[in-house]
Amino acid sequence: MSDLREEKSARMNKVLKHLFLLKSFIILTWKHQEEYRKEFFIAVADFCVITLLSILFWQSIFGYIKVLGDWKLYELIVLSIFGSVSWTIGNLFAGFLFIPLKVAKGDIDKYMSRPVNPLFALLAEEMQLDEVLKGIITGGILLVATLSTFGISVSISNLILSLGLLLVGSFAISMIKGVVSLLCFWVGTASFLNTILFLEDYGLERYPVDVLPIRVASFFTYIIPIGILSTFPARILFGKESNVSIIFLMAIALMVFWVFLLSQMWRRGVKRYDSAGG
Amino acid sequence: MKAVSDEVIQVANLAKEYVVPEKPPQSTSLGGKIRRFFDRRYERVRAVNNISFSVRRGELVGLIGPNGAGKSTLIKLLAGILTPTGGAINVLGYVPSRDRYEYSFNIGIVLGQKSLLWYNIPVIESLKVWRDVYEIDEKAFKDRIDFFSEMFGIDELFHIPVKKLSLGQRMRSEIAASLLHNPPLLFLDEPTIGLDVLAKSRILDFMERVNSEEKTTIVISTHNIDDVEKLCNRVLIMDKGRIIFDGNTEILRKVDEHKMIVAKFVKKVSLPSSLSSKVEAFIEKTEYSFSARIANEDVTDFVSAVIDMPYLQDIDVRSQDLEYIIKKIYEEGSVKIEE
Repeated sequence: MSDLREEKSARMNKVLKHLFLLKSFIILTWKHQEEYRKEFFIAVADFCVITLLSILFWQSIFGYIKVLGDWKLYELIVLSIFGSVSWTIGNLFAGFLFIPLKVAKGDIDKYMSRPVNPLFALLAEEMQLDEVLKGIITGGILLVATLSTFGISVSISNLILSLGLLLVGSFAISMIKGVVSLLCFWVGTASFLNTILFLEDYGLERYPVDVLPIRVASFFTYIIPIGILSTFPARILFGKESNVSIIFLMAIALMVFWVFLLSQMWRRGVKRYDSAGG
Repeated sequence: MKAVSDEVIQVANLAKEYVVPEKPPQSTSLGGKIRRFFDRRYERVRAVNNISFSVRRGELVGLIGPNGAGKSTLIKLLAGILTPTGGAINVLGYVPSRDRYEYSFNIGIVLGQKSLLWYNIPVIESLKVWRDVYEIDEKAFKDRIDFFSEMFGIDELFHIPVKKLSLGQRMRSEIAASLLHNPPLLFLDEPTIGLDVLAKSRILDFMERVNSEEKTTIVISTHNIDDVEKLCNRVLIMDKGRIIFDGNTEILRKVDEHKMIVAKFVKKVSLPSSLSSKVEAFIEKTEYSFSARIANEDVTDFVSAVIDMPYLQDIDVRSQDLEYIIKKIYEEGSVKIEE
């Protein structure tokens, strides 16, 4: 019984230690950012250009049509902004993109022989906080500007729910990317991994999934849940969604499932690590 | 730390296999090439092949062998980075690959070709992250920093981003980061690779002091015999995944009964016959330079005489290469390999 208690307490201490370490890694990221200050401003410009191009695209389309499904122009503009923000939040887990290369080059040795969870450290050292900040600040400004330009008011509860779903959706997609990146322990740095790891390159989140044929829409809702990045948050924000709690539960269940799969894959994969180089 | 006997490292029948692609046949038909594209074959290679040894507390053990001998793999197995495919390892009462988290508080590891430091930021910021990883309090951290500053002037490097350090400076910083928590056991994998004579000597002197003052057990892998001769009292010689010799470093001096003298001149010279007669073999000879194999007992006289020669630009005394020593060890029958 006391052994069990000791084990629990040791596990708790480890969790607290890692939370504390997160602060150390954030400071490290910040110091790194200080060396590359110009990059932050370039990244803000990049975010604005991509989001504005998306807005321009919808404006052009709505020059020919009045509605798309049950979507109006301003709703699709907000959906585009949510899409851009969701990917910048995913940069909290940018470390997943680098894991295949680091495993191939044997670059995780430094964490494998230190009292720190190697997966945590790999993610923490590659966290791109500047990208996240950029998304939140610029996305926030664009959202307020859009709503005031079109004279739309939204309820605070809908706003909180939609942003909450966007956050959970970003985490769920990041966990899927994590699972895919850990396949590198079995298949090396196979290029097919990039199809999922660089999912944002396809820009799928900038389109509403519910205008797609039902099977394709289901695929992008339940399998690769692009829909919970932008479509459902936008629907919730404008009060167009009646199954808010079901969608929320589904997003959380997806996230938990992929986190579980990720932890199992890490435990098995790390035993296959062969630490190249040396 | 767990209670342990005097033997801090115990290794029994340790093996590590890697799966690598089979070497394709040299010339095949187009059909054969297409078939191989879809049916790639792999083979298992034993990087560490059933080895057993132990290390006592406070020992300074050198691990030498040519490239591909299995030194780095052995160090990584001992450090818990790799999981063995066979046999058993017990270090300080831990099974390294299983008890990785708790075990790593008790060891330090320096991998010469892999950095512990973050490339773009000043050294001190990396040290602070490792301070937090090892749960070192402020006072202990400051004491360690003072210790490293006194030992090899690490404080001069604190504010410099790692990318701007020389290799020698970087290695000093790597060692400081690895010893921050004052571990009782230190593994070093090729810590002197690529370093100049001065930087190498500084690091070896530091290791010697850490071993004698802090009683740190050190296992150092290298393919440089001179490092081991200078630093260690025990040597493990590895070849093709096996330990072919385990004993006093005296063996290196015994087997290595020659030194290589390399001399360069600014003008054409010819060696006087009194010197030529002491040369057992010229490895290379031009009008401006030579490298010659000289018996150990003649080295001092030979070098003194060469230094007195006019137009001397540079002279270097080197040990024989590892392949030569390994060949001698096989020839002299000190190798017993159990198949």
